[in-house]
Amino acid sequence: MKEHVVLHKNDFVTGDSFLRKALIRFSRHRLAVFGLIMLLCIIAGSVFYPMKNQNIAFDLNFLAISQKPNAGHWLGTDELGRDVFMRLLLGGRVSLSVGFVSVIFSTCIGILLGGIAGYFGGKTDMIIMRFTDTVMCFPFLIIAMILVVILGPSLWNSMLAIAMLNWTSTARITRGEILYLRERQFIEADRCLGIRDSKILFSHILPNALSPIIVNATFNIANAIMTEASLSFLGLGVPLPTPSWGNILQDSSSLYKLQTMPWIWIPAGLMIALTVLSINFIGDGLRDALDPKMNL
Amino acid sequence: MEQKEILLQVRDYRVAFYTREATVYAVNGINYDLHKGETLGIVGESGSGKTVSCMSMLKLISMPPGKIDSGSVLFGGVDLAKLKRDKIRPYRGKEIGVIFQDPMTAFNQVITIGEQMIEGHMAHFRSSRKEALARALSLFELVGIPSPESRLKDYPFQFSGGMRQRAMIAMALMCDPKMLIADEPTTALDVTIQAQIVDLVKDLRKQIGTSIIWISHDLGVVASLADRVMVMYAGYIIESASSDDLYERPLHPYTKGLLESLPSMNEDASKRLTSIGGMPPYMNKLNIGCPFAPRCKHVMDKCLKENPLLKPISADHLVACFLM
Amino acid sequence: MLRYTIRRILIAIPMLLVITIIIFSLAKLLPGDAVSAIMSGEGDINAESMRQMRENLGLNDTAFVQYIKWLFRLLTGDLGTSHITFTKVSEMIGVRLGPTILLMGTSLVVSILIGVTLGIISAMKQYSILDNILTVFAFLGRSVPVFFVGMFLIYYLALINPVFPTNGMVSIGANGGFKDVLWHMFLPALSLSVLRIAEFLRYSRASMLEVLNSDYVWTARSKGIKERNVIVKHALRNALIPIVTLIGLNIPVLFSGAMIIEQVFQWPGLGSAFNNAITQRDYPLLMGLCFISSIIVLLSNLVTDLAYAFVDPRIRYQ
Repeated sequence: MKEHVVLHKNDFVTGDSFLRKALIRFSRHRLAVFGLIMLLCIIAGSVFYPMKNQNIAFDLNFLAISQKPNAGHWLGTDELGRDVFMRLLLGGRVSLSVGFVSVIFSTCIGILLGGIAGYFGGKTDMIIMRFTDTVMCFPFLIIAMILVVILGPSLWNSMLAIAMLNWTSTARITRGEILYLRERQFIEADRCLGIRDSKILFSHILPNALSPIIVNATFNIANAIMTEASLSFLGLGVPLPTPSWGNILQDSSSLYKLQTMPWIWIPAGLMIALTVLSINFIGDGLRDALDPKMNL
Repeated sequence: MEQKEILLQVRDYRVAFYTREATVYAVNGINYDLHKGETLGIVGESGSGKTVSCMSMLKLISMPPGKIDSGSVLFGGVDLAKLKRDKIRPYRGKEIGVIFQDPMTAFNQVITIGEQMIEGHMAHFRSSRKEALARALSLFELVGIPSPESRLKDYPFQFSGGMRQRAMIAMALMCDPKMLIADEPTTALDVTIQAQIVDLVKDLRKQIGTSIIWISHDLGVVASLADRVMVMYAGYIIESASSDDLYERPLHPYTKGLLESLPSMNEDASKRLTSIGGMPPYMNKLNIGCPFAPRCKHVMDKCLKENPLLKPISADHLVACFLM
Repeated sequence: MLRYTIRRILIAIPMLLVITIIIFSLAKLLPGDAVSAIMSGEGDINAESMRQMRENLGLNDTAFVQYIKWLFRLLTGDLGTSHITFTKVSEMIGVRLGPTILLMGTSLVVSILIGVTLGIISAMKQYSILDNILTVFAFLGRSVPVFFVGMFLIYYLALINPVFPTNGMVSIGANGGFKDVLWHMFLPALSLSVLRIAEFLRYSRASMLEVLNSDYVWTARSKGIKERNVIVKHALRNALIPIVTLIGLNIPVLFSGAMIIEQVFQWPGLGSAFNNAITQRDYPLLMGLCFISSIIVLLSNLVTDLAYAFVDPRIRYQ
């Protein structure tokens, strides 16, 4: 058993660069490649398709009310005669932009807090990490709901509310990596050379801690999209008539529409699932590619 | 040492690991006998196949990907290599006991030592807890663990490293096995503790008289303990001799290199230790020539084309090298 | 063990304090105060009477004084009075707490049992067809939103095939017998469990795989005990230890999920109360609900920590 673990190292003796090897490992991960292709399709669809003729998603059309899927309206129309397919793609814009933007914010918050905690240690570390634990202890969605009530429902405020809660895992990971790297010899060497703390942190430690942070951020995007959908579903996301996958589902949650017009809400639910699934696949692939030592 | 009854007879034994990416030939046709009461040292670098060659006899490697490709392992008239997975169980622990390298990870941390000691005994002899615990207690006394009664109720993490390895040895002896496989039992320990464990094993051997296969990468430890030493390289046995003979008259360039890399008490302290250049090969293809050829100072054309067979130089000294 | 327990409890106290501060600040940040909420229904609003009311409600004190007063009332179990229904928040929550805990508890138990079992089976048969199917299910399970699962189950098992009721906890006119509640709870609990099952499956599979490769499992085999005992006594037990932590981590998520699923199925628990509190701007109720949910999570984390020490002697003997 031990012998054969050692022997597997011959994967790593070739002279390829880290990035190249990561790319090869990622491309070998079939589900991740599938996820990436899927996600690119969803992004392309929701960005480019609605560029023209967008108004069929908003304009009332009493000649085409509650139509089942047909050649003119691929996914049918709703009770106001709006095109469901177009609304679905526009909803994708909301989900994806909230997912990506809020994670950019939350990752910055997480790196900052985790970085400070890990690098300075002691009391600073204890206070920040206790605070992180406390935030993790709240039911995520409930606080997000209250934040949106405070800020008022809108696209930006959804992003903000999610970002304000989604940073905890990044902070923990950043801190953990820094605690680990801090004791490594090349950092000790930096210190002996009298390099400034902030410089060591940003130019030497963070690049090394980046892999797990990126992997985590990917999963956080999936998480954020899920939360946005939930907020929208609870009526606290993007206000109508702007469509989002969550509010399309919310709008169809009456028993009557649930039963008679499944073509409106089933695609929206499936799109959420497909997007989150793709991103989770990508995250899995990235983890295998960037950070083979992490498991789970 | 007079010739005694043969306990274990290994012939043309081959083990390989078959994974999707590569096939790794870990043990490539080894032959040896182990006599009753004898201590056999197996020496080699990590990856030389020394652990796999022993653990696979009891099917204590993952199978798949591991697989015994050919050969026989005769133990008391039974070929262990041909036994089905579920038929090997009576041999594990009862006939052949195993001492693992790192007692920290080899014990289950959430079960008391006593409980882990007795389960093998209870399984093999259908003994009661009380009987098994009495046996465990007497073995704890034998291996020199102070206040054995209360220590049996402790968890592994409450033991010091040396005590844990003593407990591990006691556990391997629970069913009074005819043979022990000790897989680098001193590697994970401090040097002073190492010596204590070696002394303990010497002592036990005198009292109980079991045969021992002592796997190590440390020639020094093996020298003080083994009757006979086999040197393994890349899944082959490249030299085998009585331990005195091997140290006085090493024949294979690899063995010589290993001995030269050992610090010696008698020699001039200013003399530099030498090391063997290069790396051991990855055994993902079978060698055509001598596996050591790429690192050998005396390499000849023949070495690259043909793999030297293990041949006797004297009655008890075998070596696989064209120089001899 | 006692020292460990006390330490855990002591750590929970400052966390609780921080939670109260966060909740209080959030409540202060909410747009409009109680008075404007109460008055919004009245026709003409008199500035003097509003000022008087603010005075009476203590809203003119500094934020710090208000916080301290609120905290002391909390200590006596007084969560305030709803500005909408004029009933005690603690009573309103008391009525709602039972159904939520019933729903959450059932889902948790079901998902642990099914998820962990499937995870272990999956790990034992790594790379088999079953393992692959379960792995895909685990991915799917954490990608599908809980309300979509709920809506789909209503659509398929309550509307198209009317097997289960679409909403509520008891049949109208019935007095809530065990069977009736179970029948009503089936779909919401199922929706809530599906995602958790996936989560537990994934983690227990990984945990079991790791344990199956560890040295002590090989030691156990080397002693010649039956493979079944190796698995149950050595592998399973160790594999389950990290699962205990996972349960703690899943409780806030489960709670959030319950809040949504209660809306979908009109389950008479805290979730529906939450929605009411938000739409009607019933801030005392909102704060009370927030506080209670944090307490639930904090308590379950505490229980998890203690359970962890119970199953892992390394913690117990620290």
